[in-house]
Amino acid sequence: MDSNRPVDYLSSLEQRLQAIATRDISNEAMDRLDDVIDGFSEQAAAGSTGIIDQHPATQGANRSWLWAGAAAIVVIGGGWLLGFMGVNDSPSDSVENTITLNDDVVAFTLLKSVNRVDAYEHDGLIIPRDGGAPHYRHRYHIVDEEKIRDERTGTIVTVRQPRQEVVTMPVTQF
Amino acid sequence: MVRNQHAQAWKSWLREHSSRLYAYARQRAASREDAEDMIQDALVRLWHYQEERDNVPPDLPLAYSVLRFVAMDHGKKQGRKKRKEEAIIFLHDRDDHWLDTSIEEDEESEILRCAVDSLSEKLREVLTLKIWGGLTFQEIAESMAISHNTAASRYRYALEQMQRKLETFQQERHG
Repeated sequence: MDSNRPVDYLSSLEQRLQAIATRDISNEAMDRLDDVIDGFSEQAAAGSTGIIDQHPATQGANRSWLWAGAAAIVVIGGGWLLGFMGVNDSPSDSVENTITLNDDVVAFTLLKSVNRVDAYEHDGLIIPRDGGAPHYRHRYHIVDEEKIRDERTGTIVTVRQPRQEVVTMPVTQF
Repeated sequence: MVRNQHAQAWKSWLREHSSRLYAYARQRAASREDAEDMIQDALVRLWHYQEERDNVPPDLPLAYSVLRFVAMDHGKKQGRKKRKEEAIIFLHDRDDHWLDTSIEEDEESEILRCAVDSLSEKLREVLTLKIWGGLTFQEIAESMAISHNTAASRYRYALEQMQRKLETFQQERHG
């Protein structure tokens, strides 16, 4: 029993507030959290998790393990992205590729791969001073986005790589 | 086998407290997605911390305490300006409100939600933990690293402010 109870006229307000329902976490997020728990459980069974004795609220102060993991994911994801760039010129929403660290453990799953045009600029007619052919120049600001799931922890990482493509259209007649 | 039992215990714990944890995270987050990310981040921290403690699910004050720090980290990352912009969207986006707007459709519930939103973060936090978080003042004090008396006085002050705001809202609506 709490010692500091509000006075009576506020008790009714308390009761009215309690009658208001709160929303619950989405099913999708709950599934993701279950995956995280399963991932940790499997890791623990394999004896591969490190025990952290620091208070969890202040774990952010020493995140070398987290940064190392994130760096590895970004490096692998980035390399993967570069690999896809040459062959994946159009958006695809249902990519299901995996990368493995050894024969039986799937490390990462590619959930989504999209190449999105963020902005477009028209530079107009370009007449080179060196006597080159006149041409129209178009600039496309493109973002390559890959969504990757770390199968061991359930963490979903989004890798975005902005780039610019310049397209020139030669002027053949005026 | 034991590990599997631990996983099941954590899942049960999560299901039992998910709406409470979500309510707390959501009142500090700009969107549903951000709140859910915060809970996931907190879960990761809590799991590692509890591994040395027989891997049993944590008690609620500890979970809220971790969630609070995660929310603070998240807030820093978002940036002050962006948070202000998002807070405006959050307050006005009725369909995405952290308190369920689909069940209680009467005018008083709507006024109450507005009054909760208008509280300062410190007051709203204590109110949320007490009303919807299921904590005692002692547990709130542990969770927020404040004294028992501070927790109780913030709660009372929040109720008093809300009472005044309710009266103002009702006067404005009904002349």
